[in-house]
Amino acid sequence: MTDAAGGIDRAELYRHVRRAAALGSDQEAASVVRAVLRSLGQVLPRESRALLEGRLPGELSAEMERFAPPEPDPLLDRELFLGRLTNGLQTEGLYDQTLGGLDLVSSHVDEDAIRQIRAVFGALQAGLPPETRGRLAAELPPEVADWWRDPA
Amino acid sequence: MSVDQRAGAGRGDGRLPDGRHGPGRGLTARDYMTEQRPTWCPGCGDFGILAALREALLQEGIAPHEAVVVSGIGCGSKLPDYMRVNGFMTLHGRPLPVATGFRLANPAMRVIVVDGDGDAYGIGGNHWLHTCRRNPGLVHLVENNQIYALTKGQYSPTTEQGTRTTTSPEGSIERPVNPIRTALAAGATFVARGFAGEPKELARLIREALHHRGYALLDILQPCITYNKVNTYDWYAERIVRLESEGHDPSDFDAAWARAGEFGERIPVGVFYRTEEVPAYEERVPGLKRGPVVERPLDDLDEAAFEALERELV
Repeated sequence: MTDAAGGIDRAELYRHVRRAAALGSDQEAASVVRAVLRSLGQVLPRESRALLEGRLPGELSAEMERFAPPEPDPLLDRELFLGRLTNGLQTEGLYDQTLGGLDLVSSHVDEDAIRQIRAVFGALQAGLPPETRGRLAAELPPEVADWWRDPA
Repeated sequence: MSVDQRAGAGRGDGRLPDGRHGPGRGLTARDYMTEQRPTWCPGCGDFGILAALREALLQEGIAPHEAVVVSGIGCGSKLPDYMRVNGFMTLHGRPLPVATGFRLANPAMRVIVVDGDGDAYGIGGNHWLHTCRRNPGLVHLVENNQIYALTKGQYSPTTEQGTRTTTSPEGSIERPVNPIRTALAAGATFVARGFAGEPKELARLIREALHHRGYALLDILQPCITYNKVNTYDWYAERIVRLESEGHDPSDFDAAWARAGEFGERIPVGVFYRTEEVPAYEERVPGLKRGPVVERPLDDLDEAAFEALERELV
């Protein structure tokens, strides 16, 4: 996953995410990686983003900065973190799955999103010192930190 | 595990930063939470609106018993279930008149209306226009996801022309409502727009609305992860610009009108227009000159007074 300088190899990154999240192609994996990086960019402070960006290929570190605010929004929770992933997932699998106001397909779509996020987290953590992993976990929204601690 | 349990499992409430403290009165975010878990889709923009509303009440030091949230029908109108404040779920499109009644009965109560773009601008459009001109002291949060989501994705009053939905497979043929301009034209005294994906900034706008003297409209751009695959979190993030940082003067009606016309490559958020010079509706109702209804004794109307009323009206 990492090169001699400790940087993350892009092709390896996509392969890992494709395999760990059971995706159909590296192109799909690339889209997932970019979405997760954009979400990470919104919840991590600048110094912590720099720890990850320093190991990423330039275009992916730019993705992390794309919507990064000057200061992380403390109200961003797991829902807003995974929202940009679920927005891109198939949520209308069958004609009408409504039951009591719930849409059964979209209600379960976070399972796919979480699997994808954990896959990206697994790739990002390769070669990352334990203390850095711990620091980042402490800065993530509560449930997102659980996924970070249990990567795929 | 039942569907209801699964739908809310691990989501939202239990894991919010609930230890956040307000500036006074010993309130924390947990004081506004219920045991109910939201049944919204994972990643729904409604979560950001819920978090922002709780934060705004917390930061304003408004205790749960001092606020009422009135909703209509729709995904976002489930919100009163997820907040520990007074709540009233009304009929589709009808929260504004009910909320006005709350305000007239008890002007000390902070009355917040939460409904969607279909409820507010479509079915309840008539009530909305007249609320704008009446100017009752309400904060109106419109969760604008540009779709009817609870009923499976029909196009709504704010759906962009040409958008394919379940009821417009060849693209919507209608021109969308411009809520900001419509409110301005109808005489609204506080008109703003926020984004559900930026809850901290949204909370700040809700706080500004809570400080307004009369009716405050806050149109909230809200991604629907299930039925709107166009207006996504990233789509908005790429387009949003802040009126405040571009030197907009919210006391300038003409400038507000001009900025309200922008919705495309640039989408302004913030306060478009505000004037505190128009008295609130409840300040002008003659029947309230003797004080709020809620403070009057229950036996206020004795037999003689009742007979006098009967003579006058019957």
